[in-house]
Amino acid sequence: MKTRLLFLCLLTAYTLLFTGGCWDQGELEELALVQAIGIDYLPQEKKFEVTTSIIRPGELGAGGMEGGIEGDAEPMRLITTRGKTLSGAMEQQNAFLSRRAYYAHNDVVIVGEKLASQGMHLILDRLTRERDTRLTLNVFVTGDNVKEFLRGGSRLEISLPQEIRQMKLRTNQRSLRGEANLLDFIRNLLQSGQDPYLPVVEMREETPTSPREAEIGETGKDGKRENEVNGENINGEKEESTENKVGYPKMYGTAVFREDRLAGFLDGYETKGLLYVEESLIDSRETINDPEGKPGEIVLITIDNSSRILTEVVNGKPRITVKIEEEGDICCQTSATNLFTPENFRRMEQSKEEVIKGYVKDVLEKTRKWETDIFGFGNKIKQNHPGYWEDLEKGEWREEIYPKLEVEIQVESNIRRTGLIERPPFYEYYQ
Amino acid sequence: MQTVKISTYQAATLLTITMLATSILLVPSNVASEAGRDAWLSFILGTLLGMLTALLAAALAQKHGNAGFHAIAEKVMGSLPGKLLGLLYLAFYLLLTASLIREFASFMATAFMPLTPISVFVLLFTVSCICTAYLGLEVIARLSEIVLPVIVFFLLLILFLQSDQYELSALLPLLRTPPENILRGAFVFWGWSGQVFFLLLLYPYLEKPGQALKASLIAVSIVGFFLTAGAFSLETVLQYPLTERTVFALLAFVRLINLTGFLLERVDAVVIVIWVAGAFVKASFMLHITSISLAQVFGVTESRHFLLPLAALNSALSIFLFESSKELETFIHFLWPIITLFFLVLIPFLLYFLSFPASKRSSAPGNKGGGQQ
Repeated sequence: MKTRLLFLCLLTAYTLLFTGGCWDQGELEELALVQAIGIDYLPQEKKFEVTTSIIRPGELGAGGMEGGIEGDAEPMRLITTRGKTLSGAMEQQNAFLSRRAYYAHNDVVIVGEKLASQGMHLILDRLTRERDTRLTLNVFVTGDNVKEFLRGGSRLEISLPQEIRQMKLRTNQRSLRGEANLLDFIRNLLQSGQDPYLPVVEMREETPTSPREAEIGETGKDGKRENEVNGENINGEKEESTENKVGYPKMYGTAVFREDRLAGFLDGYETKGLLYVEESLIDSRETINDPEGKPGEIVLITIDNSSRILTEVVNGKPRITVKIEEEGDICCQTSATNLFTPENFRRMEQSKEEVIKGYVKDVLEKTRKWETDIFGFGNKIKQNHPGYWEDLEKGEWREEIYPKLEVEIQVESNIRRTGLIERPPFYEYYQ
Repeated sequence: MQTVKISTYQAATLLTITMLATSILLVPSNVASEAGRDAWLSFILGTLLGMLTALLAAALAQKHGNAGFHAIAEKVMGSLPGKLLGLLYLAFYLLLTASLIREFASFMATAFMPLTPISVFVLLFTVSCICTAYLGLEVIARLSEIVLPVIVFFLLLILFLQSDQYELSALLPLLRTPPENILRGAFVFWGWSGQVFFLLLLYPYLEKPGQALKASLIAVSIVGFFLTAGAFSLETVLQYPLTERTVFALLAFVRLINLTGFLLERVDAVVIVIWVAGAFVKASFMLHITSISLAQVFGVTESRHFLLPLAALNSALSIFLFESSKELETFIHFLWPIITLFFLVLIPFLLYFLSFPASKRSSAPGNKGGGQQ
């Protein structure tokens, strides 16, 4: 019995050795939780500029939903450092921190336009090698100044990083921005015959308008609480132009890459073309003209869509057929026409097909100019006609074949439901 | 000693863990770097080769009345050459155990606890293994019986959780990798599926030696299934160039699990469970094998006395053998299959070959064995 007890004690002590975490033990109060990283490149100095947005521990939980707007202090601490490499710049951050910077709970990375044009390979290694970042990281491109962007405020969530994260997470509506995370980016980049893309975020300055924000804005005039209005303006710099204005994030459009370098931006409408082909569109609304040519418009929702890319090689020339099938409802009508005839339905479906075809053609035209194959037509050719693909020289697809590639776009639209009313109740007034 | 008996099921679970434990983590990326997109085919071929190895082991045992490997070696080659061969095998077991311990430590340090010195992992791990090995084969077998369902459950879980991410078209174009590369991939995996040969060391302890072949074939099939399914999912989720560029492809795969944002994510601990549990059973088993083989070669009855010095030797070797984790990976990728196949396929095959005329003429087995030396 006694030996057994002794053994049990020894076993417990021994297990404690395992479970303590050894040298890597880390307590929550020793960590600075990074919520967003902004990275940009300074071409003249050849340096990276890294801005991290870190939760201020006092605000964590205590402030709740109102922390960002009402709390006594800003919810986030911003730190900007520079270095020859991304890791080097991140190391510099420690000079400003009383805790260990912890990146594992960060899933927002904002990449500046200059860095994206310089090449994403400069940061991709750091984002995949160390164990504190995951491939599910959300990466965004911004045309704005990254540092200024992270100073922006949030309207619905606690802080800007939270707001961006929620915007990206939203799964019930997606029609205006590209859908890709770090893994998608890397996969598309490494796959020959495909180029990657990323969603775009930008900042829009607004005068705070909700009663609460306006009130704070007023008290802000005495200079003391002004920083709160300006969100995470940690340097305490008083910028005249933004006295009453706050930057708010906006996720809109797609950044298109040629290999790992930024080639250009697609706006929200062009992005729809990409999303239709990628099958990742949810709840999109397309405006078409009245089927009988009368004044006014009709708006149709796309609820469900699917697409297929068919390939064939005829006489050594590749041909692509994109088949898009989608279905949805009628969302709104501003004309007086009675839509509920078979002919009008067919006409509406046809006009919707034309609109969608137009989106895809716009993207195709732009990407042909940029020589980047974001649809992955080359990848499909490689999969289905490997013999043909292996005979191509490096870069031949992107530079010579893709810009002149024969692409046929077939769209099949179906209007399924009409909403809660049939003819517009006030149709007399639309004439 | 001879009263120790394990059931067929236990033999199967023990062999499964022996093969599965270490291969599931490092081997997928090694095979992918050989066979690329067609890695799953390499795994199927490797599984078939593993089954051949199991057949060889069973045939060798049947020829010699279900004796253990070292007894067979002494019987076929004569006493002294047999013992010398046994010593050679001891070195092989030591190398296997040492590299296994180092793999464990290296994985923990790389993926989870980079600040902790590697010797801490080695020490804590070896101490637990000594405890288990001290209690003998029966306990190890029972342990494997408990651990294997856990490993299988978690492996199925992670394959299932990612099932919505599978992009089957990523497997295309099929079979564009040169056949020799696919074979090389199969060869790399054979270094693990060939370890089913340890069945031959279990023979004297089996309750029903007649079912040993069945147990080993089941074990190889389970391992083959998981590695093939694993390769399949890695190719369709991480996709080809990335699979060969990650060190621990399975870990990279599990780190992707992210169900609807926040419901279920960061399940890396699952990999630790699979890996630690598996490596623990395997290391205990190997330590036990080493000690009983040592006892057999030197004709000592009590093998337990060897455990402590052997474990110390293993820990020291595991640290001194490899300078860096890259060296370990290169060793496992290029050297290990050759070493394993030399010991677990080539020499047993020669023994089998040599035992043929010996049994037919039923005379002068030492003569042939002497010629071989």
